Amino acid sequence: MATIAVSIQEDNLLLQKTYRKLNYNSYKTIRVIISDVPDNNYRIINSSSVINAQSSNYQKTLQSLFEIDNTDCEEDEDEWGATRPTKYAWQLSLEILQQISEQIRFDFPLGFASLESDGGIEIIWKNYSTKNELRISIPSHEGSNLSLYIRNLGNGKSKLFANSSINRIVRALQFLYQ
Amino acid sequence: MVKQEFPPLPDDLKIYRAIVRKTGWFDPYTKKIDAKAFKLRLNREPDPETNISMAFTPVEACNAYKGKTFGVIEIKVRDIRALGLDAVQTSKSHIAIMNIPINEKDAIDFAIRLAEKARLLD
Repeated sequence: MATIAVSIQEDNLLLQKTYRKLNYNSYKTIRVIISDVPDNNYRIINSSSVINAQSSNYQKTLQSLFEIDNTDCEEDEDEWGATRPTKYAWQLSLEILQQISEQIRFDFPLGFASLESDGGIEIIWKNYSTKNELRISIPSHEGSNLSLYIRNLGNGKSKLFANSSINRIVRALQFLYQ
Repeated sequence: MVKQEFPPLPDDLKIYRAIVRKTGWFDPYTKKIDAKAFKLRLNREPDPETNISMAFTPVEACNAYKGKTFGVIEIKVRDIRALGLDAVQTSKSHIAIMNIPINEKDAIDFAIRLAEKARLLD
């Protein structure tokens, strides 16, 4: 299957068909929607969501997501497990971070991503002053649930929501950083 | 249950675990160990992970990963036992952190507590 590599050369956006295995973050600077037209040419029909428009914390969190895919390992698995996230987990993680950033009514909190051994992705937020912690686990494949773990040292308890909505995650983040 | 072929480990023993991913096993902003380093792999196929593998030395901790490691974590047996868990020798070169409840919430709870007691070797 061919992939379209996107690059910027002298202010021109260059789209090239390639069969090389790319990291998901090859697309990290810009999101484009393209339409396939005859003769293997591609036309940009919409260009949006330039990440630079987002907050610094959002960029750092996103950057940590890019880094877990930035592996030089040629095998998809090693002795510990997956060496890179599944495409499903990767795309869902991007969508979830984007949705959170759109819903949240304060500065996007600083988080980081971590690879699960099955190719899923965990995104972690820590409040360094209260030591409260929030972790969302993004499944590796369709059909599994998005789970939310909250550690609240205020009441000394933790809670796991085995199937969480984005709204619940946003509310939990607002609580975590209030 | 693991057959107790070896004597109990002393409380003051330091044991080791390799960091096997470049990112995500420690907080990139504080450089402190993250719970991921001690979280049971409950989704592992064909069987969920039931204990955390440790080693007697940093070199032994890295041996299984063919040089693809990104640091070594150290933790004391005493600190593991203080959490209600145990560290048990299961072979000549392998130690298992045992008694972690096999469910997602408890696995994260204990992983966070273990990570708080652990340190990254210089």
